[in-house]
Amino acid sequence: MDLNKTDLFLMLKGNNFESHQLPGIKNELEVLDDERWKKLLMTDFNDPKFFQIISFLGGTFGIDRFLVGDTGLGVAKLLTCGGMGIWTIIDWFLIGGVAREKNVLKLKEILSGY
Amino acid sequence: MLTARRLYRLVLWAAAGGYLWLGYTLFQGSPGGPGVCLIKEVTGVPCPSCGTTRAIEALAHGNLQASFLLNPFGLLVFALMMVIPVWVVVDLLTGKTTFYRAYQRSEQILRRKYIAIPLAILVLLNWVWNIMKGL
Repeated sequence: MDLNKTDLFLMLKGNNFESHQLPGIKNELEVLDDERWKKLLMTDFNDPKFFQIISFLGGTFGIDRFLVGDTGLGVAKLLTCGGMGIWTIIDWFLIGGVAREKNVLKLKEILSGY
Repeated sequence: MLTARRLYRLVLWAAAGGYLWLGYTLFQGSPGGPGVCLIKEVTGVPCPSCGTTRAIEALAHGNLQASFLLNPFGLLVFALMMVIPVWVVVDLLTGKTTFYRAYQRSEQILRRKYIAIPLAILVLLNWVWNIMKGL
C-alpha cells in the first residue's frame, strides 16, 4: 500500500480529531499547497488524552478549561469549586471532545490560509 | 466554539443553580450545607474557592468584613451573580450581544501573561490562606 503525506498525517494526528471529520480533512489535505503543509506540520494540536488526565486531576480548579483556551469558563469553574463538583465531573467526559473541536478550528484556520 | 446563544444559556443555567443553592443555604439555617467541593471531600484540603458560599452568606447578612475574611472570592462571585444575569437578560430582550463581546474581550485580556500570572499568584495565595484558615 502506498502511503502519501496525507495518510501519514492522519495516522499520526488522526486521534486529535473526531472520527467523522477525518474523511473531510483527508479531502482537504490532498489539495493543500506546500506552504500550508509546512505550517500544518509545525502546528501543535491538543491531545485529548492529555486533557482528560488534566481534567481528572485539576478540573476543580478549571485548569482543563484554561489550557484548552476557554479562559472565561476556566475562571467560572475556578470560582465555583468546579461548578460545585458537578461541572468537574461533566467535563471529565466532555473535555476530550472540546479539545478535538478546538483542533478542527485550528486546522480550518490553517487550511483557509490565516 | 462557544456561541453567544450557548454562552447565554450557560450563564442563565449557572445563575439559576447559583441562586437556588444560595437560597437553600440561606433558608436552611445552618451555614455551609453539604460539602460540594470534590477536592475537599476527597483529600480533606480546601480548594481556592472553598468558603465562597459562606462568604456570600455573610455578605447577605451585611457582614462585609467577615465575608472578606472567609474568602474574598465571595465578593467577586456575588458581584458577578448580581450583574451578569441581568446583563444577559437585557441582551436577550434587546437582541444585542454586548455581554458576549465583553466576555470575549475579557478572555483576551485575561490571557495576557502580565495579567494572568499575577492573578494566578493571587489565587495560589488565597488557596494557602484557605488551607491555613482550615475552611
